Amino acid sequence: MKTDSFETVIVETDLLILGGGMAACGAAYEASFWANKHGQRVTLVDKAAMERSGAVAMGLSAINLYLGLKNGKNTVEDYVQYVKNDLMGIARADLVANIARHVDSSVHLFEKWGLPVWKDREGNYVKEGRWQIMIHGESYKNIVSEAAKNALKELGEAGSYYERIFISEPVVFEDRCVGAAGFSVRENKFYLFKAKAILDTMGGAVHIFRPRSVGEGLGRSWYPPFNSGASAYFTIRAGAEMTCQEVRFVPVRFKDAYGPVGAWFLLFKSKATNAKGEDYMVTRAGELDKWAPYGTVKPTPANLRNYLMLKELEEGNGPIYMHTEEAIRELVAGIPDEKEAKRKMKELESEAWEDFLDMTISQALHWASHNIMPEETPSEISACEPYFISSHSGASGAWISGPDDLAPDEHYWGYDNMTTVKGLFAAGDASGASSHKFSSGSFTEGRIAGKAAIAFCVDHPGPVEIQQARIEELKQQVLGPLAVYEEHQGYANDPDVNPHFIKPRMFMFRLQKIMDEYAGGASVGFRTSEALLKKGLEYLQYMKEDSLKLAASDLNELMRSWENIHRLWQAESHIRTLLFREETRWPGYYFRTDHPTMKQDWEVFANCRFDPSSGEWNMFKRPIL
Amino acid sequence: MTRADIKLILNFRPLPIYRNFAKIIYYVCDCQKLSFHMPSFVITEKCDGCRALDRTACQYICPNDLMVLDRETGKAFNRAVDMCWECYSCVKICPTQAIEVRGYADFMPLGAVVQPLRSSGTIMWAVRFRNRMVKRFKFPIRTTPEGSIVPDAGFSTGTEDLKAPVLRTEPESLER
Repeated sequence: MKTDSFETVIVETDLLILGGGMAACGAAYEASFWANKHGQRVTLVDKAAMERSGAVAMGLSAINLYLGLKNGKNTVEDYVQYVKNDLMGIARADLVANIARHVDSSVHLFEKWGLPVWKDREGNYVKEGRWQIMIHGESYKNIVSEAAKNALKELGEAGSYYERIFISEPVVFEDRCVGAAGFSVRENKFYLFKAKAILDTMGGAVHIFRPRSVGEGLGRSWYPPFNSGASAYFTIRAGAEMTCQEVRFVPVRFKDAYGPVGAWFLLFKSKATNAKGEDYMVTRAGELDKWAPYGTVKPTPANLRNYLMLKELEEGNGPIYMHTEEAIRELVAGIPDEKEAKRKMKELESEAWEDFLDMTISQALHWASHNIMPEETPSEISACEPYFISSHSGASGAWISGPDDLAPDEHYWGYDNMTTVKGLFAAGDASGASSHKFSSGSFTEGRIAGKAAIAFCVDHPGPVEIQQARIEELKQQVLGPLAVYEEHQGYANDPDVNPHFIKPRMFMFRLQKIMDEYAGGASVGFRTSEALLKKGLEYLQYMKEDSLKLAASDLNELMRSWENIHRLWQAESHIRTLLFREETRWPGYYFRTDHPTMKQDWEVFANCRFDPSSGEWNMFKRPIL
Repeated sequence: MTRADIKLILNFRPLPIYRNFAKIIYYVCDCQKLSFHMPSFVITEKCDGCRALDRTACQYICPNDLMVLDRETGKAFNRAVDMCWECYSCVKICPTQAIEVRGYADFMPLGAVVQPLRSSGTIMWAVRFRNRMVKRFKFPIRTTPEGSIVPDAGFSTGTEDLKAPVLRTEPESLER
């Protein structure tokens, strides 16, 4: 594919939203309204089709963040405390509180737009847990994206969205982010977006660590395989300060198909045991004292629940079972009337299957293919491979400004959710240290960032300039893998095996192998050390050099090439921060064998910044305020 | 799948609005062939490449850009099954029900089928076990007509201040 055949398309706008998931939709929804009042343009760019893009593409069976503030049972402060505890003290209270105080509004909008929310007999939301509500969420994303598109429509010509455009690279001029470069995955077009403000909402990162399944099941990651580290790459390369790059998330899910466990643990009150039937949360409770004060709070932080389970496996006590059959038996046991008990049984069965069919259909297939009926048979659970997802129980992302009225001075620099680079904003999985946003919180954070970004545009009305020579340079860079392939393909008769290049697929496998074996992946029980990390970092430098030799034979491979460049940078920031933090704080996510305990002087944020002009990484601590 | 099973499926209402009567018959006939299919795959006979539509539905929707239309055969295919999340977006959108999912062969025994019928307000699932037991579930998916969303949903916004920590539709929408 000849790169000189590519047309250059330049799009000028005021606010540029990158991504199409929950945070992007929240941003488009909110920004359109304020843009309309202030004569600003809003443009959204998505690599997929908005109605099924992002982590909610498949649907969800619950909304994991709803406070119900109007009922007076929960407070914003309660939520902040819960999040801090779950992350072993490492969270930005200002950011978490900002999302929490607005999130109910988003959920109420979802319901009005058409999302079916479970209700009890009095018409109240059915709670799955203290912060979670149950939904019939197969079409959650369709509904939310429709609202976002309709909001953009209200802007008339000043509102637009582009689908199937992959964003590769940020465009920075002096100290300000002024645009993004990418390409169409459907036609031979290079895209350059110029904007006054850019909001990065391109999701978390998957397939950086080697997954447990490496055949067809490679795609069955818990978080979607199409979330490939684009968010982190964009902010890192723009020179923004990053935070919590060490805080990966290792979810415990139903084994292999990775079906959700939340409804089973919270709604059905199910227990998990080792193969001998022992409840390790009880038998190993003593271990939790070592991780006090966080080890002794209730609920036990997710990473410590993982840790106790991993100990069982270490000692050969697997498999680990979720006792769905006992949970259902107990829920029905209290019903004396036989007919009523039967009805309840039917209801529970339907709820159990819906939980999977709404959000992880493969798990339903897994049950059906193993002839598992949850009311009769327990199911195996397991720790997945590590992911980067600050909207859940990970925390990696850009270091952003908090809100004027909640943030301490050190955390406030003019606009909510603006990174340390002027004009560059982040939300959802792109912003760090504000975990447990989930779908509703990500949408809400997108709204917060969207409004703030419009304020930035209004305050900075001057035109944005990008030199023609810079545009040409970006075009060469973005289309680079196509040129490499074009130049060398004739040398060997195998399209994939050629000494002059590497295809993105093998590049990804190489990255996964390094990360798994040196950075504490699943196959080594999530254990790592300084010596291993340094070796891993050394291997990543070869990968960085080889990334210039990524080759793409078509647009799809060009996208895969860039996805893996993005993954590589997320991986490097991860290893560097793992090395920097000389302690073990989240033992169920990763364990530093050379620093096996939690240390008081590390109760700080571990931040980093890549300097685009010198190419140097700087690591530093920031206090928890 | 027996005739009685098919009858049961058809008794669920409403069926997808875009499917006309002829297509229902087509579906009934094809259910009989719903045998042991093997991540998302396209049934050659049923795929018409969305000839009558302005775009290939599965190619339009796949979040990972896996579905492609083979111009020569006029049929769609999944170009990288091991990058497939099994999200079923293609299965749900396919106008001819030509796409099914065979569980990842590296950890699922053969023989199970999980197939949806998605309409405007509900989704109906047929789950067939390896041992041939069949379970059916029906869930609501949306309470409003598609395309009808009004962004503000009747709420008004309590401020004009671009710098105030009040979002669109607040404070009304906080109260519901």
